[in-house]
Amino acid sequence: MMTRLEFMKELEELLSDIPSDEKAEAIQYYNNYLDDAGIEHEDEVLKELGSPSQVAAIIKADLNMDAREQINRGNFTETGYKDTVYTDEKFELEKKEQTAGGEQADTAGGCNSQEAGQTGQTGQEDGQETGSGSNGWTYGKAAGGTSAKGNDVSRIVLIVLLCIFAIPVGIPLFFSVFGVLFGVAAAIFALFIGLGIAGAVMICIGLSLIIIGLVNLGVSLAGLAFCGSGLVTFGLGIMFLIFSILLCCKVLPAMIRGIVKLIRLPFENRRVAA
Amino acid sequence: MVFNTGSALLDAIVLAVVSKEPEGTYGYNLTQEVRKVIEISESTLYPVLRRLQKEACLEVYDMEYGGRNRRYYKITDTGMVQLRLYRDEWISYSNKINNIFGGVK
Repeated sequence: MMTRLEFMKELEELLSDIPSDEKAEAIQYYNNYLDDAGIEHEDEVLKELGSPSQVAAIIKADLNMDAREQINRGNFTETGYKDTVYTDEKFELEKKEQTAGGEQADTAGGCNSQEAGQTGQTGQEDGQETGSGSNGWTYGKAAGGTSAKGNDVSRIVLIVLLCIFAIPVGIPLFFSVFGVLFGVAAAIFALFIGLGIAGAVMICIGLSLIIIGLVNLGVSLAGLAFCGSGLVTFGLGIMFLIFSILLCCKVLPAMIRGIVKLIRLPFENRRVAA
Repeated sequence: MVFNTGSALLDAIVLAVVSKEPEGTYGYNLTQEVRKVIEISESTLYPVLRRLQKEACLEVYDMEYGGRNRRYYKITDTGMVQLRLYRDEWISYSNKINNIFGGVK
């Protein structure tokens, strides 16, 4: 049996690789905790807390999760908070269990691992087979999985068949859709560039008209007309050029972003569903 | 217990227990209170408290008790908003479940 001093010393050592403020906070908490438990409960609490490595693993697991989930966490909305947090939590827990091994996996889930011990017990009493180290989530999955297994297999077969039959239609369809998309993109791009080139050409023509007009100004009245039309053309050219630049800078990126989003959409849904 | 306590529910329970004490409560007491309701290990609550603190749902302060500093956790306004949200969600969720079980003979 570990004494309190030994426990705290080992915990401190195990937490040496996390930020010092996090470490200080955790050490203070557990010192406080043991103080409040009192000497009479000390052994009991130390036993309940588990080994220092378990306690450290729980603290670290949450710190890691925190960094990854900062975006999802903390800004719950009126309707959406439950879904995002809940599914992500589940996702993380499952992932964590895969990466961490044995004892650590058991503690990594925090409250859920504790619950898992309980569900595991009751499950076995009922004569059900559950994995010895399973945590709550996998237990839930296993229970649901046995009944849904047959369904899953037939669904996979159906999907494979569908894919095979879809090949003669799917490949040309894919290429034609790709071709159309490419064509539309090229047309839009050409339109924008064309506008720009037209603008540039018009500026050139306008300038030369002005020059011709200025040269002929002394000779005839036609020089004045040349000058005038030259200025008008020059102005229109600048307008076209600015319009084209505007389109290229603002509209094009927005369109590309939109298309990328559209393409990503089905994949994102899938990820959430998984 | 047969049912799992998800982390959202655990957050909600912790916030609810803390909110009962206007002056806040400390880790050991909090753990004992929560353990009256659900089965959790003594080491479960620290990360939860730390996270709620970072999310500004809880604030901490130290107060002297028996010649040493004791850290108290107190619910913030943000925490209260969060707690009410959790409570409403829980009521609608548990109502639905109750309705389903109500049909069981």
